[in-house]
Amino acid sequence: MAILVSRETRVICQGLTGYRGSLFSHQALEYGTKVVGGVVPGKGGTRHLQLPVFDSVSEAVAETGADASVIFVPPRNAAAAMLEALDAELPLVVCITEGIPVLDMVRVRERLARVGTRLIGPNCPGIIAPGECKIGIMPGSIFERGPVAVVSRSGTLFYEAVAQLNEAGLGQSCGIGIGADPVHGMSFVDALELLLSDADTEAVLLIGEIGGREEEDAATYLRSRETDKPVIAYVAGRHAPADRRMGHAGAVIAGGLGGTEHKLQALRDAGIHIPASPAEIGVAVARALK
Amino acid sequence: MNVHEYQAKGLLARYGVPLPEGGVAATPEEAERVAEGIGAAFWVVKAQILAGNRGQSGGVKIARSAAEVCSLARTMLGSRLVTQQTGPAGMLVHRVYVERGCDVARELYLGLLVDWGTGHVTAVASARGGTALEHVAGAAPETIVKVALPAEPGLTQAMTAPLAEALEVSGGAAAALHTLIEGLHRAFVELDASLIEINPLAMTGEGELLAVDVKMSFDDNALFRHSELEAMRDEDDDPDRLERERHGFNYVRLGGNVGCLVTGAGLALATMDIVKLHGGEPANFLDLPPVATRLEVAAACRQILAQPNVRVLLVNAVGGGLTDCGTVAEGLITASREHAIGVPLVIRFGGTSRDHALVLLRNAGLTFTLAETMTAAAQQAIAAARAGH
Repeated sequence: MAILVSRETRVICQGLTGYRGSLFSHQALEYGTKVVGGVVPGKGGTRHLQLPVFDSVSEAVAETGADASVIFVPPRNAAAAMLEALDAELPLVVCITEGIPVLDMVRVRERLARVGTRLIGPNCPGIIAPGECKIGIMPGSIFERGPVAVVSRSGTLFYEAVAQLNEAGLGQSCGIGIGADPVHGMSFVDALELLLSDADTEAVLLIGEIGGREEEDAATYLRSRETDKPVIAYVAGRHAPADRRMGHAGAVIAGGLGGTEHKLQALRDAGIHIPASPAEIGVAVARALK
Repeated sequence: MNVHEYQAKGLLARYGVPLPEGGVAATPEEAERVAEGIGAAFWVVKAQILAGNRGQSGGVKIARSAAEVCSLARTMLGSRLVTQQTGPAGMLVHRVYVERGCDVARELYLGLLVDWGTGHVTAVASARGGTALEHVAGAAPETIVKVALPAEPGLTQAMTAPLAEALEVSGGAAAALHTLIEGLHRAFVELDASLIEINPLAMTGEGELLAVDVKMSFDDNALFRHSELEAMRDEDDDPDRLERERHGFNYVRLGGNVGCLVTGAGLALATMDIVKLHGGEPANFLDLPPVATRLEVAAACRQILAQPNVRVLLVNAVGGGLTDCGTVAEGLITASREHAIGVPLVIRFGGTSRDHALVLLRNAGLTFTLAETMTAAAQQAIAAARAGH
């Protein structure tokens, strides 16, 4: 049994009838995920992908017994969708939506601090327990069951790292794309807390990038905690010029802190394995596990 | 999105932030009239560009008469101002801001931003503002005070008291400071700002607080609910933005000779890293979003190859999620039919749609070097770039 999700997880999709909501709910069902319904205000009582659609999250939870939600709602309504899921006290909420205003996320985080929900994202691929449950947009077919947990701020680099692990003969206990928005839910530290005590996980691979302080916080956490599980980290953007916005919001250096050299030093000081090249991620994990 | 000082001051005036009297001008004559309208012992003439360090670069000057305001404005307007933050080409001065000179006894620093670590709106304050701030940040960072504030307007005295203490403001001025911070915070949350910086916040000889220089940036993701701010957008702010909005990809020019076309920001950063690691120089950062179409991929090729020093095009695509290597291949074929690819092509496809994409390229008769790994792709691209010189 993996962390956070399993074969038994019952998922509703907020924004089920939209293009992406439909596409990824269909793929999740094919993967074996128990998608049990959707929430689209105004479309309650209808059916989509043979699933019941509800007007509100609380109604959907009451009718389906859902314990997780995945959100594909457009950016201007995404915060309201997250708040609704928090109010319904769902244990797990995964928000895929990209482009949410930062202050909306500040307000969501304030509410999050007062409830028991775990939020993954926004602007992320989601979470997968290979062979059991897929909640998000990652391609299920590239994941293989195994001992390495992968936690990534980036999307395509996440898939690249998984491919390298497979090549090194290492499957994954779980994959979590936490997203790269400046203010988001689950952090590297939150994921490490769960994974270091997860019986199925023998090593943790973190995929970071310039900007923010996720990597620095992870390093501080690992220095304070005894573990015999190796942690490996690749941080993208070593050669990105300072103060230039590179793609999504996360990849920007916020004054000194957040630069890759700073991050790499903090990670090295905490005993984390650092591959020299993005092509050596799989090899580095295999070496650390020997 | 960044706005000019005069625009930021216009916005903050509505929130009751105390400012020196001033006005914007696009011609020297207009600047003179603004100065006469204000009436002062002396005036400050400030070039309006979207970059800092203006003071050290001749972009902020003092005038003793309205005629001098006029002549200073004549020198600044239409010139290119080069500061530490503009790059060597500098930025064209379209407008000047003319304001009443004030008697500054102390220069303070006050900023508002979202702290990425804590996820809170946060005020940052230092009693050593102005140009001394950078020195303080390096030498005595503990004197810079950070206070988390709520995400809704309305601050209590208790919330702003630590800031007053950090700024060494007490007595009657403390009440004025509270009102100022309250207004600043209201502006921040109501306008979806990402940064508001007052530096310096002046304490005058008469004990009055004045926001002498102001910098404001806004969250691009929230502009949909602020059409007034969207209208303030200056093309100087981000020259690559128009291309990005037209074609749907992020592009940043870097100056090397290895053109990079990559799916996703993280992989694009990693591709730059591996090119550098093997001794090459990336020409650009380019992050194709998962939803990019064939025509957008072709436009990305044209954008990269528009730089004359690019000697090779390195394509690194990993299929998965919404990202499809097949679409990238179709875009490359389109670009090649338009004769837009005049340099060697090194391709590395991974992920779900790799094989299909390679079949498309071969059927179209494209000439390219196929790399199986990121390392091979970087090495082959660098070799091709060297051969092309």
